[in-house]
Amino acid sequence: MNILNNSIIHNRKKILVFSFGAIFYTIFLLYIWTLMSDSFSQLLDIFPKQIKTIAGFGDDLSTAGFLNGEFMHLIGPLIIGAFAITIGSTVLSSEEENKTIDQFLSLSISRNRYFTEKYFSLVLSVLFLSLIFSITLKISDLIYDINLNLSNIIYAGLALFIYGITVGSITYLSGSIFAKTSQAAGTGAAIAIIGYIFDSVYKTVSSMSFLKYISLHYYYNDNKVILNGFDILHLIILLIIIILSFCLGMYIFNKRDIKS
Amino acid sequence: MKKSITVKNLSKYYGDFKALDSINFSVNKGTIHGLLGENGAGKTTTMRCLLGLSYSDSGNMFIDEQEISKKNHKIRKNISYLAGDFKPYENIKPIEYFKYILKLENNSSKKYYELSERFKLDLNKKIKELSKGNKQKVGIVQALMRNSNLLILDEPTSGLDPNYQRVFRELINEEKELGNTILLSSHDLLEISNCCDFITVIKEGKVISSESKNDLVKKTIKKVSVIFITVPSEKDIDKIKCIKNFEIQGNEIKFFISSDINQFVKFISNYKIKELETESSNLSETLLEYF
Repeated sequence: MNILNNSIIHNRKKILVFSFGAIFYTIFLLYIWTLMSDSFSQLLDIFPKQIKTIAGFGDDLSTAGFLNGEFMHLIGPLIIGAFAITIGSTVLSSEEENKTIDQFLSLSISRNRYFTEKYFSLVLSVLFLSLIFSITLKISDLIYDINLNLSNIIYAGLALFIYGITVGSITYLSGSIFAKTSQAAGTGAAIAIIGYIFDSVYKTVSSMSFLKYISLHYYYNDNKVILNGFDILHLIILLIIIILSFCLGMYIFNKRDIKS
Repeated sequence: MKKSITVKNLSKYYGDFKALDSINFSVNKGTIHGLLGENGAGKTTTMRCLLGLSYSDSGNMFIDEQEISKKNHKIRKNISYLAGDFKPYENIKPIEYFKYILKLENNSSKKYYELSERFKLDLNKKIKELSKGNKQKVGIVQALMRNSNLLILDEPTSGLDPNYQRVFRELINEEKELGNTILLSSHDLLEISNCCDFITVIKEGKVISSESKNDLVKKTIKKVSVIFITVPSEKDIDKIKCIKNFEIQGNEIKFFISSDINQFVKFISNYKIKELETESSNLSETLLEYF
């Protein structure tokens, strides 16, 4: 577990910065909600239906409904996605890029152990940020009295965690293939952005509904997780992507030369 | 003598480029073995293959008679490595770096204190604040602190000033006295000829010589200048096998002799000589012939 601990300590500044960002954003967003909750339905009427659909707003005018659109649809995955890409792209490939890995892999440490502990430092970091989101939602609920159920909070945290790990695992896989931070981050970011765009396109252009099947965003929140919980099939698909990325990454990392 | 490392027909390609071309050599236990070659000759690739950082395309490698394979990482328990372009974590102190490496293998050695003292290395200054030479000292200390039986050191004295190069030589000789084996690479002829008991020369991915220092010394070219009263003919000189080359300037002939000098002595005894002068030649000049 030493590699895992060291990796988390190494990334502590990034974890702290993103955590402060998550806390600030969540509290600020819910403060805004307390100011506009009474006029929310009138505000939504201004926008055309397509825009509301793209933004993730539905007919639910509760706090959870607002959070589904504003928080879970865009900013939440943006923050956790950016965090997972930042950690996933650097945790292994930057060690290879900087050549610090040579000394560690020349010890009696298997590549599998190194790869797995580094991966779990990514998992724990994303889990920590998801918990920060959930705890901040709960604290905001206590401060502003906005009627958020515990289930809403748990679903929100879990969904963000699953999304973050999926994006992070793909980024990590890319890092284990290319051993380059920029390429790994680029791959993760491209998949997350394309997923968001495809999700928006399929919702507004019915002839392009097939795009949803290649969108991470669709599997992540098409069921409006904060309101309705997980769609089991979608959850399984995300879990398969996570497991495949991990296994394929480990296989490739074991097969190739360490960059010299 | 028992072998610490055996390399058999090792080949390695990088794309179409053949970095190692079926190389063979072995390293005896308890010796200091030098890998000598120009930049890009294949020294680092050989070491990386031995450590499993790179995989060979063909051939076999053995450490302490155990074959090196992708799954056999435990074989490295008794091997220490210093990379040619050693890069430690920059944001921590040397002491934290050493403790972290030792912790990864549950090694309780405290040898880094003594080693750091000998190198006058500040253990409590962040690595990023250290000079290139001091960072190299961090690399040497981490390689020597683990009490390994086999040390694989790639260009270990790079960036060290002559004083600490001497400290390094003392340390590896102490390791040798403890029965440990040292494989070190360098393109510094003087370093190799001073430190090593055995020398393997690699050129363009091929081993062109692998022998003991004593054997190499025997091959050292000796220069002898003789002023003759009766001058031998070029035809007669050509018949003497140990004379590799000669230069005639009037009565003075400069001979370049390798191997058996007795044959040469016998030859010149047939002629009247006015003066004879020998010029000492060192091992590094002989090694230079391989480049």
